[in-house]
Amino acid sequence: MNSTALVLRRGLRRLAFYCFCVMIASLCLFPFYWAVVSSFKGGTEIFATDLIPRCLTWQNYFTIFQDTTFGYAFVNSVIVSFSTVSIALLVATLASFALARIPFRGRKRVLCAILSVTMFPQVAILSGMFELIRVLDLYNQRSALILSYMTMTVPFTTWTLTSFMREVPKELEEAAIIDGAGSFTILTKIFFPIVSPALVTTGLLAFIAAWNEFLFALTFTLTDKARTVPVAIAMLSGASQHELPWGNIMAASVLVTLPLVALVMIFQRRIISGLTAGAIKG
Amino acid sequence: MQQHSSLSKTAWLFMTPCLLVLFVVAAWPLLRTFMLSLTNARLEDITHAQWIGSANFRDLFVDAEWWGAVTNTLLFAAFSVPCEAILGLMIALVLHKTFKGRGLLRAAVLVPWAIPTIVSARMWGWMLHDVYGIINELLVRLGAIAAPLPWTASPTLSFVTIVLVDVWKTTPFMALLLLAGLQALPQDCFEAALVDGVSRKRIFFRITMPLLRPTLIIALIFRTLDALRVFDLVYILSSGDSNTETMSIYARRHFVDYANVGYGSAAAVCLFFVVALVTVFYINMGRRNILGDA
Amino acid sequence: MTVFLGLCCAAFATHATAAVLKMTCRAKGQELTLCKQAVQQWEKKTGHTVEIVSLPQSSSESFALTQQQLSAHASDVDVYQVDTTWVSFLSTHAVPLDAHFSAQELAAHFPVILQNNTVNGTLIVAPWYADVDMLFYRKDLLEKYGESPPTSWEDLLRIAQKIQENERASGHVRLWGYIFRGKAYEGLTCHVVEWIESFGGTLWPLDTDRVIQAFAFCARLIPTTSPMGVLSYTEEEVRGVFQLGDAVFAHNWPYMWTLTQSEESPVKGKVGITVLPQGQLHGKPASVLGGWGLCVSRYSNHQEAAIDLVRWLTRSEEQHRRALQASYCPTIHALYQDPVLCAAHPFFVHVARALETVVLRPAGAFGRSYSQVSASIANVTQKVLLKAITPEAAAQKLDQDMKTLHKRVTETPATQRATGQ
Repeated sequence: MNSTALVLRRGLRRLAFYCFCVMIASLCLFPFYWAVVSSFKGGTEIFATDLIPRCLTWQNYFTIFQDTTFGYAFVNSVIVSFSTVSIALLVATLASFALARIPFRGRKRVLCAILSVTMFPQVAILSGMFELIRVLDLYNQRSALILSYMTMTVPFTTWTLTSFMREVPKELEEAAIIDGAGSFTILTKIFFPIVSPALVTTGLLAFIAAWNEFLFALTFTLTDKARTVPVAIAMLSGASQHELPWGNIMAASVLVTLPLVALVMIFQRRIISGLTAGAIKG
Repeated sequence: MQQHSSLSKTAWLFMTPCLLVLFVVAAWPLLRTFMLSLTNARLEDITHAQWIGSANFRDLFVDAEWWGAVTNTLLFAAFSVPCEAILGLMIALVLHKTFKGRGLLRAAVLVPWAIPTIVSARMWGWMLHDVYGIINELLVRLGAIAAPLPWTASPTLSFVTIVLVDVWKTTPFMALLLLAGLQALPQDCFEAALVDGVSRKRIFFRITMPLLRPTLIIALIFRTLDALRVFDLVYILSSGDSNTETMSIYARRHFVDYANVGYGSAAAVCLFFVVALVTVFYINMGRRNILGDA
Repeated sequence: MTVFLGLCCAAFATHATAAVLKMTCRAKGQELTLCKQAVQQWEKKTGHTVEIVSLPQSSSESFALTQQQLSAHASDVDVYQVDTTWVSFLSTHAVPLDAHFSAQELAAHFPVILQNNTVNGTLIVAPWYADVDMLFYRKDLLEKYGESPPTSWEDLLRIAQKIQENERASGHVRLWGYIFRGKAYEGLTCHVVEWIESFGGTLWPLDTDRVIQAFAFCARLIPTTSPMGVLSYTEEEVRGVFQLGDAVFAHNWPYMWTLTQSEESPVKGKVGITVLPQGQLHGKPASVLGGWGLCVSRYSNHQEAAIDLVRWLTRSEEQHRRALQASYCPTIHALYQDPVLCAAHPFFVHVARALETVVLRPAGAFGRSYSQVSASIANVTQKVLLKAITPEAAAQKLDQDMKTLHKRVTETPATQRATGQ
């Protein structure tokens, strides 16, 4: 084949490739773009279907914080997510150290058992968890959510941290043992500094999972006191009892999503390595 | 020996918080759900329930709505997982190449995954509105359809909608897993094959795919389990619709809306077994494949 | 010093008797403001404090949560805002209110509302505001085609089809004839009861022939005069489509009136409202009774104060204020003749007519199984609307489902224990 034809073919292939990339990117981003655009439309303008809006207003954003208790929900979500992540990381760090670095009988079985918890359908523990929360008198409290979110966060963080801990070179550990350090010292003085990036990653993933959780938040909270953001968005309503304010809903959605999107974009490499560590290396 | 046993003790000590937490939030509630499924417990008075044996399960197996939910869930998994796998693989192959703007594309691809499900559901519900949705508008303008489609109302279309939104939302996750798998593959095979003049297609099917299989299977396991357990998306986008009701929604409906804890727990137990069966099936298949390759 | 101590004691004493009450409210936005204003007036009058607890917007979710609270005998909440269909569940959990209202006060309300809120001869829910489905129509379109508001469903279909065809031919492609709440939830159940009753039948016990007639009417709706999209419509979707001018007739609650007459509404000044049409000769215009009331929890630690709060919130002046400011339909029939209200909201005269012939949903017979019955009714109706089953098969299935659920209500040991209390 002569060289101009080859160059042409390669050029076309490149073009097709870039077109494909653009298509993927637009498909991924369009719904979010539309939500942002809708959130800036007021009143009946929102029902208009021009791709690029004519007039923009901040009204919807003011309304959410003024008229509804969305602000409370935001605070609740932040508190619940941070607490969940802190406790989960603490518990998981201890456990993953043992699972990754200390050879003991039944280690594989324990790891399997912990991993199997990630496969529980949430509804399968709903009744039992509901009863537990009632007995502990935690219904409609943030602590009910923090407790129940342990189900999702602890196994996942343990599993991921275990695979990260396995990667730490044995020499460091051996040196410390020769120096007479106990397991706890090894964990805190040596491993902790090394795996702290992994802790950040895992913490971030756990934070996102806790932030987005819906089923437990829907079932275990009753009022604004403990309601989190996903449930608050699901229940957003307007001035009158039946009114469904699409503008407000889009505005709330955008507010909730922007920090997440920003976090994800900044930490993309970390997130990807975290997600895949558990799956591939584990 | 002594060192070994004291190490063992330390290990168990370190693991106690984790195991304790998991016992309290996972093992115990699961056990309770199993027990409650054998009683006539009601939401208001769970502790004073009476033992009724397998009556809940018998009622469950003759309920047409339950089987409808089972069918919906299985169909949902059967359609969404392969779509996500294929699209994910395509995106992973694209991201595997180095080109300008790769970082941007990767960031764009992560966005659907980062958005909370409830927000995605609301966004898509709004875009697919039968009279004012932008999707219908665009399709009509492009001449693809004559009249706006009732995406969330028509029985078949609402199912398509659910699959569509789920594919949009989770393909990034699949793509990332597969990308990591691709990046972990030894590059020398490919280089050798290219030097030998093997066609790209052949390289893909004869070298890449077999090497990627373990990763693919893990990704498929995770996604299938998630698909079987789906709740959030279907609840927001089409609650009450019997054509898209999944097992999770059915269980919660009886548990909360009808206050019938015993019956709802029975449905949840059935879902648990379905998920467990699928897990075992996949693991066996995976093990055989990996052993087979070796 | 002694004076100071004395003052402190006095302050402490009043504080000690001042109760903190909690009241549930589905209020948001404007509704919440109204509620808070009334409550603040009461707080000033009595020295107690009231905390408003908000509930989910969805009636069925609010019901599930209220059920949980009351069944756990929780004393957290003293006053509950309750829907018309929850009354039978509340019979063992609410304080009887007859003794606290004078005969004159009770007689002021519509009898059917009181009847709905009474169980075993005792009034347990104080009526707060009413809601009845109305027929909204486009005055301008009906005038253009020389039609008057329909009094029968047959008439409505005819007019809807005629206007829809003609308007679409002249360019208004999106116009639909008749829209309603077709999603599978309580809103659809209300419609079904209305359709059946308007044909002269009853839902429970099931009047098979009339039910089949009503279902036959339903089967004709999609896609002749109603888009398939109605199957996902709740109140707001109906309002959205009607308010933007894309429907001739809409079947919805009165709240839609104020919003369609707002400044930015494209149909401002073009909307008419009337009672629902009837089925053929044997029928009558039938609207389902909706609305909300207030009840006092038996487990409250401040029953006296709670009852006083309920009396304050449901009295005539308060209902007048809410009606004037936010068009909440009062439950007191004298208010519908009030000149101020009639001037502000001319559509109240139609609401009054609808309230005269209002019908009840079968919630009383099913108690706490009502949510399941309602879901069953809605699902069967959706199948009829989709023409997935024949009206005869639908009537049969409905009969079977309702009988099975009714049996369960009378048989469960839990119910026996509850009613035995």
